[in-house]
Amino acid sequence: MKTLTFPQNEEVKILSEKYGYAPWVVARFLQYVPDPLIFLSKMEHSPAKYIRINTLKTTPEVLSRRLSEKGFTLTSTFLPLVYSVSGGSPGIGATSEYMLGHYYIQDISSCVAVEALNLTPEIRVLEVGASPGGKTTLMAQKMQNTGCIVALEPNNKRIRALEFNLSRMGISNACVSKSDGLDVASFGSNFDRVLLDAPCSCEGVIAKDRDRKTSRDPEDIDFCSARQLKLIEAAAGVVKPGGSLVYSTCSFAPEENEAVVSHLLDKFSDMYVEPLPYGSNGLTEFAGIKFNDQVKLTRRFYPHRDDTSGFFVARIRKEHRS
Amino acid sequence: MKSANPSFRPLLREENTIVSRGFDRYGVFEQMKKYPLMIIKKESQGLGVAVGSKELVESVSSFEPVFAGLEIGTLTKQFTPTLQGADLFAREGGKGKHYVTVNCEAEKLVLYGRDVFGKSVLDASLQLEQNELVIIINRHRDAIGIGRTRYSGEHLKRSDSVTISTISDMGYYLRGQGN
Repeated sequence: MKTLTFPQNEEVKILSEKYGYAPWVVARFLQYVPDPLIFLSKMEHSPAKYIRINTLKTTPEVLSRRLSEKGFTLTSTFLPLVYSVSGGSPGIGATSEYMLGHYYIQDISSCVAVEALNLTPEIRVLEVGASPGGKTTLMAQKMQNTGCIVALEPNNKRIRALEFNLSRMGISNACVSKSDGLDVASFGSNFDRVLLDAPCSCEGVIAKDRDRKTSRDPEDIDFCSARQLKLIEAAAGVVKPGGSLVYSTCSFAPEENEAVVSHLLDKFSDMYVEPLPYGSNGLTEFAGIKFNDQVKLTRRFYPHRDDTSGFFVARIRKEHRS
Repeated sequence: MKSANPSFRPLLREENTIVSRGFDRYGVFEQMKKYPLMIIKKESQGLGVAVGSKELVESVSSFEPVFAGLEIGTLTKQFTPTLQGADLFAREGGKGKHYVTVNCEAEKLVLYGRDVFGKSVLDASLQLEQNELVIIINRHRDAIGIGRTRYSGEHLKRSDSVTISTISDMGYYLRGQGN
């Protein structure tokens, strides 16, 4: 699906000038983002900062007390073990508890992707594009360091960051393979869970990286979308019957989200989307293009509705063979 | 590129003996029995000892990984803990002469890679000798570093000088991430 662009009317021009976006970006947001004016205003503010407590090394009670002594305030969220954090000194990324791996600074939307996997101990999991390891380490924690996580990362520098975080967080059930997500077939097709957090245009993190307001073209979304289609097909191929695949991005673009999931569902009749309890419904159509009806069960996260970075997540089950 | 990957294998009997002695030295012999172990052999480096899950240890070689498990020590004629090993031993309640407790001030310095002054040592065994490897722990019993004693036991608290040289510290996770 080629990236759609829309006429840039007066409203688009006014808003893009006010908020500093390339006009084509605003024109698209006005088509599908709910309450777009509130959305654009919220995107001017950095999202809330979240930490995820590492239960392999500490408990929420102990860590809350220790961080409170340093002036931090932790507020619980809709996910267990994930807290918004404010105040404190030094910064939340410079405490001894951080260095000791007692928590990970991680947006709540990223944790939702791992929650969606519905992990249990002693299963086998494949993760595509694992670095820097926020989701990998959360998976290991939920699996209580049992089972096996195969984390793929093709880039040497990013492998180093991943190894750092795996060591820091005390993870012992994971291995890292220098591999691309398109080469997963070589790992066999017996994974209970596959997590594909696909490389994307990263529209969802504009609030943290304002350059993205103007630094991208529609062709960038085309490029990402084309790759995502290949990655999701490859990932689906290594899920065992009865297992599930979670697909996620930090983009708002339907071409990178619902269109990719819809493509998979149309191509593989033995896969279906399962509902998730968080976020907003996925789009079932975009500018007159209808997606597979199941994508309404996918989930979108918006900064102005969920106080998270922008995020998309879908849990897709492969049927048991009868 | 694949040939540069480390290889993984079970421990040989004599390696198991050395590692067990190491665990005993750090007071975690019983606690470590529950952890599956594997040897990591890296090109042009020595042998590492890693803990892994049962499933990982059984299948690791089939994935040809560049990294696997949690490396807790290196193996030569004896077992030497890594920072991750020190952290695990402290969390497993390891006790004995090879743990030295320091105060908050020293904790901040150790996490910057600085050495420990005697006046900051809260607890150190009188049985420690000079030049012994110790795990440096804070008041919460978290391992914050690995050090080497500059003096024997009773002198480790002398107030006028550095008494423990910090060899490695958990602050590495911040300092090293830019590389």
